[in-house]
Amino acid sequence: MKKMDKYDIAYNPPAPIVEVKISKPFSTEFMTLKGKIDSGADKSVIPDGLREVMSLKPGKEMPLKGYDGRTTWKPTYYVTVLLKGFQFDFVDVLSSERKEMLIGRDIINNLKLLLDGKNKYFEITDP
Amino acid sequence: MQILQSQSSDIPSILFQKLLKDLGIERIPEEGLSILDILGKLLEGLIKRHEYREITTSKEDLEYKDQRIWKKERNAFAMMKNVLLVEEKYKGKFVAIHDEKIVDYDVDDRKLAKRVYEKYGYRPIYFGRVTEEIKVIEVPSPEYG
Repeated sequence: MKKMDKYDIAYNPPAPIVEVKISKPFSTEFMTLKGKIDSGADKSVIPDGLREVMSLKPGKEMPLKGYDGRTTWKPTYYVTVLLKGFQFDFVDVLSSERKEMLIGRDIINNLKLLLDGKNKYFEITDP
Repeated sequence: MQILQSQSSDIPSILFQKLLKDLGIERIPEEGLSILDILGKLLEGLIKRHEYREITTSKEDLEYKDQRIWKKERNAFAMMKNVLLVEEKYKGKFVAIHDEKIVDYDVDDRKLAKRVYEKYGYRPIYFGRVTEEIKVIEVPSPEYG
């Protein structure tokens, strides 16, 4: 049987949470944080605090539509993302005031993701 | 010179203990504490707070400076976008703006960013797409921000 990860029951409702490592482009200094799988998000989002600590430089700018339907222009930041042993270079992510990272479809769509919500298990593999 | 001791009748014991805690004094020496000791600790605290503010300010300054440079590059892109839209070389591609000039372009923004940061260093550089189409990014999670 394949090794699956448990949902984090500290979240209500329980959520698929993974350990993520983030670094600046070309840097080998990674910062570790929790990442919440969010298949509804077009793009991944990192915490503002992490962006500040890492002194990330803005790159692109995109119109972002939030849950309230309002659209605002936001800068994005290129980072390296390490997730379950898979490395993604130059992923451009958004930043917002939050504690953990939101892992959106920009990353998820490169992997195989199995969510077994009923049994509170999930699996991330590279097809 | 006035000597303050825990038995001082002028300061209630609880207040005295709180004052010592706030000043970071864990133990009162046998010879007691002089007003100069207390003032010294107060001064030490003020200096630490000042240093902290300086560190915080310089970090904020750096971010502000980055934002200012990046916005300047973004404005340069906005000014030249209409001209770029009619140039086949750039149309539909991403351009990198540094010092208010196009320094490189590519259909793949990640390849472009890698190349440009490698060449010019990791600094505020604007990456804009030469297109009239505006793709809205959706992050509908209520906890986005």
